[in-house]
Amino acid sequence: MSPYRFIDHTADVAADLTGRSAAELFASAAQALTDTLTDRVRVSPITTERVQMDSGSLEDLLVDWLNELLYRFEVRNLLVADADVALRPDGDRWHLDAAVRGEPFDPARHPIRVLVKSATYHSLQLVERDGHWSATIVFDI
Amino acid sequence: MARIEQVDAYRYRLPREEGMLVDGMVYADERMMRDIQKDESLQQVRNVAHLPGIVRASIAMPDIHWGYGFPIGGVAATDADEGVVSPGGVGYDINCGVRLLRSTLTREEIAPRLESIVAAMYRNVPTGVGAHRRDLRLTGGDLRHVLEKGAGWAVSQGLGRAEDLDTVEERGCIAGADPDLVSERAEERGRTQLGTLGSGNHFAEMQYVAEVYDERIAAAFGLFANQITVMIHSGSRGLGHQVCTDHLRVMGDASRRYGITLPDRQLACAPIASPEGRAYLAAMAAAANFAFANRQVMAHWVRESVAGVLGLAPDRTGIATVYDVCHNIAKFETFSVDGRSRRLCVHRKGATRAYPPNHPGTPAAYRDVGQPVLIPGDMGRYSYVMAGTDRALDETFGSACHGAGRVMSRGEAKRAVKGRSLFDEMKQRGVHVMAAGVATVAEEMPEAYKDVSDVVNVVHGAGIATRVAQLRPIGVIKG
Repeated sequence: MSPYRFIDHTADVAADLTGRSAAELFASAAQALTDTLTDRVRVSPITTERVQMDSGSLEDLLVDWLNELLYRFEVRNLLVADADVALRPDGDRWHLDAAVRGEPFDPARHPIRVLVKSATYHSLQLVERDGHWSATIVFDI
Repeated sequence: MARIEQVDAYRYRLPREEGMLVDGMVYADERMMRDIQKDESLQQVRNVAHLPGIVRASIAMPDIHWGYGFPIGGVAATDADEGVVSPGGVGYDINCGVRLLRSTLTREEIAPRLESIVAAMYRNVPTGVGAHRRDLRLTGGDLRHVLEKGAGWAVSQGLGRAEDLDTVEERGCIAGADPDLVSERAEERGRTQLGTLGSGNHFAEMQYVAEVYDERIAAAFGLFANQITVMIHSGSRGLGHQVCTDHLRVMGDASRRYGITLPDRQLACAPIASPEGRAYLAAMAAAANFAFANRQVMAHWVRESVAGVLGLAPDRTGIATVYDVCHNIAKFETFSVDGRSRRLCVHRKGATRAYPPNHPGTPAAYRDVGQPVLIPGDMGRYSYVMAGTDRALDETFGSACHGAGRVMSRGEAKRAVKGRSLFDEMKQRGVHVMAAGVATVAEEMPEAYKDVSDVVNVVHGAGIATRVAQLRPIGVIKG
């Protein structure tokens, strides 16, 4: 089963995300973002970058994580192929430590589908049921 | 079941319910109202009525659709002293807006060179990811001036003429901008994006005046039948998106701290007088100024493109700015409410200003007829020019609609286009299209949008703007 699936949304792009853990769902989200921007299968895991951040809730952290990757794409040209994500609670906050693998955006090989303005909090809720995590993320485009 | 009361043929009231501080007021006809009820947008109109300090009504235009917290097509004015400001009431693309250029050229005059002109526009106005002109590089100091001065900065650099500013909302510069409150990240995203169109529904479009409905007002706007016009739709690019992202995070905590309870976390807000509210407004104004400069720079390059292909001096194209209007903004404006003059923070989220004749905010050149209201449609059919009215000032805080709104999701549009050559189809309709992304053109195909004339009919019928002219596309560049 694919870890993410795009669903119809009138004005923007929405994706159902899944994972066997919250960390895996975060990795799925990174791939869904890349697949919104371009054809993900054409993005190779050539370089590795580290991302560390923390937020007050898992939902906030998911939005922050995606916006961090969006920033790295726009400013540093990084397209993400996949990510190894670790999450841990830290007091009343959640901490993320991830290795992000990808390559620089190359217009010749990475045809752009659409630019994303931001990941949104719209109807965002991480749900865990029987060891299975899910959430729907909406990208404002 | 929440109540909806029909007021007249074009107005529906959503009466106050628990938590709402004012009524909702929706401008729509009966058929539209049935469509509007298919999604959550009316509930969003009601939710906006919860914002502390909201005045008169939570207003929705006929192009309303479901947004993030606020509906797209929403107008909400809050008291400048006791009210709140909400980044969701502006959106991610701060000062996304439209500029309309007129020319002294006719459709017949440019017809033989149309494809060359569109190609020149496509070369000169960067579209798509990472594209920017190497001859426009901003140093840190330059960017600061852009954020402080807006379109005026571009004109001071020779990217346009001083007269351009006379017909731009707020003369292309919103007061109170503070570059120090724009994050380093937002600046990084913006530094290479000034003078770039972006993607999605943004475009630059060559058009001709297909219909004139009101000769007097059209003449005042400098518009005549068969005339060539150019419409540019773009905003503050990554810089504005990042400003919104940065401040939404802060506002979530601020709402809780100030004890503001809201039905949707995306309405997160802070008192206008609070440090968080003031910081957002100053950063938002800076991003709005970036957007004004962005459209000014692109308008200049369009003028150069047309002149270059026709072998004319740029001024000889007669290309001048009809108007430039924001449709995602929060601004301080003064209105008479219940006989009292009040300074309000007007949030227009997918709505444009529509000031009447003889208003100090209406450009001097249009004092007798009202401010031009620019309403882009889809890339195959038409767009409209309207003029603001006294009724808009009385009812909608001088606001009207901003566009057509989608009917198909992007996925539906792509499926509908499968196996068709949209570029050829557009050509058969007389529209020459150039785009960085083929997928963008599919998603933006005409059938994916509502017929903008339905929206315009309601606004005209309700009297909050007057129909002036219809513009039809002949050339489009997109991201």
